[in-house]
Amino acid sequence: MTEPVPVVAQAVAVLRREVAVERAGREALVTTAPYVAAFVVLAGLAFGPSPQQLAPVAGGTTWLAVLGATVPLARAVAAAEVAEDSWDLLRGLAAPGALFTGKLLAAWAALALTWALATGLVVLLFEAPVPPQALYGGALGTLALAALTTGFGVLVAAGTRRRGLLAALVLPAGLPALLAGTQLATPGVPVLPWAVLMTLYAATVLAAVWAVFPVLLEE
Amino acid sequence: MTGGAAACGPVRPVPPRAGGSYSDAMVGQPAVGSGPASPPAVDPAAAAPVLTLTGVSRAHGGRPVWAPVDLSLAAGTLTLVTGPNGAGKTTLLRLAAGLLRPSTGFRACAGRALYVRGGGGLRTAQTVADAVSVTAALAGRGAAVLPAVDLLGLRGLADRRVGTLSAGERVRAALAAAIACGPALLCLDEPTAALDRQGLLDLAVVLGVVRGSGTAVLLATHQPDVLRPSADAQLAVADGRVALS
Repeated sequence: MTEPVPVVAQAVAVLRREVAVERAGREALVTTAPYVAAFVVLAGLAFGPSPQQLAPVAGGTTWLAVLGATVPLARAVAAAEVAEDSWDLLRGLAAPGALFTGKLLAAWAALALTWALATGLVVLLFEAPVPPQALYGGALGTLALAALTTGFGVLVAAGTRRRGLLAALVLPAGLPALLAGTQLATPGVPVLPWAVLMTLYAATVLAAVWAVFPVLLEE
Repeated sequence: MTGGAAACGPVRPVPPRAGGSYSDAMVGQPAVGSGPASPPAVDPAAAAPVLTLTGVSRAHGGRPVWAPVDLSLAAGTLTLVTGPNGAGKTTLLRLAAGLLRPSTGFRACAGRALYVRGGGGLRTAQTVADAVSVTAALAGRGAAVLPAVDLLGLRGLADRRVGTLSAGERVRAALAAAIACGPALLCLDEPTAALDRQGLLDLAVVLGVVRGSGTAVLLATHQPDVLRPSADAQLAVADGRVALS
C-alpha cells in the first residue's frame, strides 16, 4: 500500500509542488522583480549617479541584491508552510533528502532569477560589462546561497521566537558568496583565487546543509 | 493501565482489503453525502499492528505531557482521541505520526504515517485539483487522485483555490490529499471542529472507506458522539494520562 518512492522522484515531486504553488500565487515573482528594481535604482542613486562611478560597484550591487533576497526567501522555505499547516503533511510524505533537494532547487531558481534581473539592470543602468566568469560566480554563488537559505529556512520554521533574527543570520553566513561573486563580476580581477573560493564555499555549504538537514527537521 | 502507563491493547483488528490497492478500494464507494459508510472488511486473524508505541512519553520544557504510553493500532481501525484542550492530544498524534521524537520509549510504524491538522495540509494558493495532485505525486500515487476527489465529493470544487474554501470544504480537500497518498496510519487532528452535523456524518462515510482500505485512523476530536458508534476504541487524554475509555 505504501511502496517507497525513489528519492529522485520525490525530489522532483517536491520541486513540482514548489513550481505549482509559485504558478498559483506568483509570490516570488511579484516580490522579486520590484525588489531588485528598487534596490538597483537606489544603489545607483547612492553610489552614482554617473556611469563612471557606478561601473566599479556593479558587481557588488548585484550580489548585495541577491544576498538581501535570501532573508525573505528563508522565511518562505518552511515558515510559510507552517503558517498554512502544510509543513507536517509535506514532512510526512517526503524523505529528508528529497525535501532538501526539492526546496534547494526551488530556492536556487528564485535566487538565480534575482541574480539575472540584478545583472541585467546593472548592465542597463550602470553601463557595466559582465565578464564571462561572472556567470560561473552567479551559478555557484546562488546555489550556495540557496542551500544556506534552505537550511536556515527550516531552522526559522522550527523556532518559536526571534524568527526574524534567525533569518537575518543568512547574511553573515553568505559573506563568502558576496565577496567571491563580486570579484568574479568585476573585470580585470584575477579569476582563479575567487573561483576557487566560490567553488569551495559552495561545496562546503551544500555538504554541510545536506548532512544536517535531517536533524533540522526533527522536533 | 498499570504503573502509570496507559496500556491500550490492540484495538479491534481489521486488516487491509485483500488484494486491493488504495485507489481500487475507493473506486465505486459512495461520495460524501450519498449514503452510509461501507463497513470495513474484517479478518481479525490477519491483523498486524500498524503502529506500536512502547513506553512512549514526550516532555515539553522538561515536564512529561503524559505518563508513558503503550499503544498498538491494527490496520483498518478507527481510534478516537478525546480530552480537554492542552491535555496532549496533538502531541500524541504528532508523535504517532513520527513528527515528534519520543522522549522515552520507542515507536514503530509499518508504512507511511501522515498527520493533518484540521483543514490544513494544502497550500492555500493552489486549486483543489492541483493541491491534491501534487500531494499524491509525493507518494507516487497519481492514480489515486480522482478516486479521492470523487470520494470526498470535490469535483465541483476542483478549480477553486484552497484559500477560498469554507472550513468544512478545506477539511474535505485535506482529507482527499491525505488519503490519496495511501497512508498506513492517518492522524487527524480536530477535523471535526469546522463540521456541522451533516459534515460529521459525511466524515464517518469517508472514514469507513478509508478504513476499508486498511488505513488505521487516529482522530482527535471534541465531538466524538457521531463517530463513536463506528470507532474501535477511544483514548481519553487527561490529567497526565492516556487511557482507554
